[in-house]
Order: sequence, then C-alpha cells, then structure tokens
Amino acid sequence: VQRDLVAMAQEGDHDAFSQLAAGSIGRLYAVARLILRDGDRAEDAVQDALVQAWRDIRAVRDLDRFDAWLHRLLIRSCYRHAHRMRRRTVVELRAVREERDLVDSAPELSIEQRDQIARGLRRLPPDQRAALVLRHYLGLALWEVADILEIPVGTAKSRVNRATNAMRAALEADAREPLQAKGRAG
Amino acid sequence: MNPNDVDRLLATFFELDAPRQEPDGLLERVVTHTSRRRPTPRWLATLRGTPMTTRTKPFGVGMTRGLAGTLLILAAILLLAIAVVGLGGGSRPPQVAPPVPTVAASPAAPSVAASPSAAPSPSGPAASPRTVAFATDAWSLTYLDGPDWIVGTSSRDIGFENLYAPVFVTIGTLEAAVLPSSIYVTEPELDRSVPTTVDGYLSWLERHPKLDVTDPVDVTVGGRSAKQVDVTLKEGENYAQGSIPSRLGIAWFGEDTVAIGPTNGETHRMKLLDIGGVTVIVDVASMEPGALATGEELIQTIEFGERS
Repeated sequence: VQRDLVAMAQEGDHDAFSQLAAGSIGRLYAVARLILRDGDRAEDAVQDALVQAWRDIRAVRDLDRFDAWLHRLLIRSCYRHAHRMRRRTVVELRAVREERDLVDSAPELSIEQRDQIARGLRRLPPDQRAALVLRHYLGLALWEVADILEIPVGTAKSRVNRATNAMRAALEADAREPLQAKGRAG
Repeated sequence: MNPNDVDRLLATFFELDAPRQEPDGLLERVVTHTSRRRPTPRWLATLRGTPMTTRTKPFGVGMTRGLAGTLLILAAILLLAIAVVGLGGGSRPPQVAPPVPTVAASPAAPSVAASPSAAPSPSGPAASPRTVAFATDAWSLTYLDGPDWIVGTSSRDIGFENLYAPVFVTIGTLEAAVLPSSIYVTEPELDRSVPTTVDGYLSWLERHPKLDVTDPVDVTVGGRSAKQVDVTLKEGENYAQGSIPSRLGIAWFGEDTVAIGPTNGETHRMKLLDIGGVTVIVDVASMEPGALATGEELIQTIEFGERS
C-alpha cells in the first residue's frame, strides 16, 4: 500500500502524500525528539523534513525504500536544527506524576538511571545521538544506520561504539559522584 | 558495566522517553505547507542531493552512491551537450525547461537584484505578506514575512531558514570574534581583543588563517550603508556539516544565540553595518551560490532602525 501511495505522490497526488505523512509523522517526531532532546526543535525538524519530502519525492527511485529516504531527510533536518539549538534555551519541566507513572510501568529503569541517561545523551554530539536512536530505538541494522546517516558501515559502527562508550562513561561517572561527594564531606 | 548493559538501558530509555504521538496540529501544518506547491522534477531533486537509489547489497554504499550520482549527472550533461551540438545545424534542439523562478512580488518590497537562481522559488499561491518587527536592545528591524521562512529569534539575533531553498539568513549584533582554533558547536573560545567595529572585524577576517575572504564592497541593506564580503573555507580546511566538529565559528552574537561560520562548500555572504555604534552582521549562508539570491530577496525587505 505504501508503495502505491509513494507512486501516486510522485505523480503529484497530494492526498496520497498526506496519507504517507500521517502514517509516519508520529514515528518521525519520536525520532527527532529523541535526537534533539527538544520538542519545539523536533516539531520544526519533522515539518521541514516532510515538506522537503513532498518537494523531492520524485528522487525516490526504489519505492520500497521510502521510509529509509524519509529518515535520511529527517536526520539531515535534525542536524540543521541541532546546530541552531543555542538560539533558544528550553527548560524542560516534567510533572512528578508523570515520572512516577513511568517508574511504575518500567521498573527496569530507575529515575536516577533515566536522569543519568538523559544527561549523558545531552552531552553527546547530534551525530552520535542520531546513531544511537536509529540503532536502539528504531532497531536498525548497522548497514541501515549507515545508509540513513550517509556514511560507510565501518564509520557507523565506530560512531555507535563511540557513543555507547561515552554513555557508559557518563553513567559510571554519575554513579561515582555520590561517593565522591560523601568522601569530601567526610 | 559492559556495552550490552548500556545497549539495554538505552533501548529501554528510548522506548520510555519517546513521545507516543506527534503534537497537535503538526500534521495539519505539513499538509497546508505542502498543498501550496507540487513536487519538483526528478532531475532537480536528484541534483539537490536527496536521491535514494536501489540497494542490491548492504555494504559499501556510502561512498559509491555519491560517486555514481555525480557520474550520472555528468554523463547526462555530456549527453545533453552532444545532443545540442549534433542537432544544432539541422533539426530543432530539444528544449529542457528549468523551473521558472516565480518570485512572489510585493508592492511593499523593493525590487530584487536580478540573479539567476538554481533553486526554485515557490510557485504555489503564497499567503499575503505581512510586515513583522523585531528588536534588540540596540537596534530594530522590520521584514516582510512570507510562508517559506522559518524564523527563530533570541534577544540578540534573528534567524531565517528557507523551507524550499538551502539558505539561511542570520542577523545579529557582533559581540566577539571566535578564535580560529575553536568551533561554535561546542563551547566557543572568544577573542575579545578583536575590535567589534565594521573595519576592525573586517581586518581580522582578512587575516583569518582558515578563511578566504573577498575584498569588501559597498552595498546598502535596510536603507543603510554596509560592507559586504564573501567568506569561504580555505582549501584544505575541513568542516563537514553533520559531523562534530562541524563548523568553524567566526562571529559570536552572545550567550543565548549562535555563532556563524562556514562548512565545506558553504559561502557566507556577510554584510556589516553600524547601527547606533554597534556592528550588525547580516549573513546569508548556502552551499548553492544560486540560492544566495533567495536570501537576498528576504534581506531586501528589511528596514533597520535604532532602538531608542
């Protein structure tokens, strides 16, 4: 069905494109939000990517690979918006109840771990965050990650490894902090 | 903690942290934007660099696809040239019609410098333009808003990103130059010794070890005199967009804003003007020289004023 919609959109059928957009926009927003760590920027990035997708949809030659192509546009868009992140400072506020709900529904991840991971991700450059999101959220194979990021497979592998190592270091450093603080106090 | 633990934690975190649904109104905005125009021809979309070709095997794709695409385009141009030469004496050559730029003219907007643009301007019915004001502590401006620009502001600068052409316009007060050894995407190191006057900053730019800078020319922008230079990376410098470090920062607008600077293949056309004793930079950046004209269309609608 998606293949048919892509073909129709390439013929200028805007309704077909709207269906494609409706079917993918939730996932695109989630990916952009995870990479950019900012809801407003994620909205802008998704909008830009989908507008560009409609503009350039005739560049899709293999209709079965529309999703991969769309993700590529999204990642490029995320990079552009990540470079402009300093323009706005966004303070994220989360309701306490939401946190509690989260923990109740996900006992495998504590609030502390979640905060540590969020902090660690913020310290990563956008290209490493993108690699992690594609790999661990979308569950893509390394060659698929490489394809979307437009880099060789070896580079994708090393990028994922670097990001994973950085996250591990961040988590371990955060885990040590309370002990160090205690030692200084004592 | 081993890598598998980190992988598991990340997968769990992403699953929990990902929003379940897009924000209200986002799809409607996309549908509205896209309904104003039709897709561009395949050859143009391919030239823009967004093709997705058939994959037959999962390895070794990244570099070969770009090369293949370039060769394909070169071959097409060569064939076209042969066809034109071959048919020139006899039958009529085939007409390859590029998209006609149709700039939405406005009575309020001054005429745009005639410059051929490789990037298409939007051809759909545009929303009525409206004049929008923006002010900092030192200066203010008005510009003619159009549906094709995404605008971001801080207390110190204003940025425009075109939805359809790869061009960015940034306007801000020069606060400091960025050290050549630094980059703006991480914490920039500033050179506060560089004079933030028009002449002082231009003099610093001309001596920059990593930049090629054209000779300043006199222009007007927003009804005021300005100096204009084109800034690109020197040959051998490598600041690729999308990787970190990605960009050489050269001008800093303040803590809550951005620095500007070129990446590989990118041209920054900077206009510097003095407004009330501060130096304002109007920067148009693009990797497609033709797209700079799209930014100029916006700039020509700007009127500057001093903040009282």
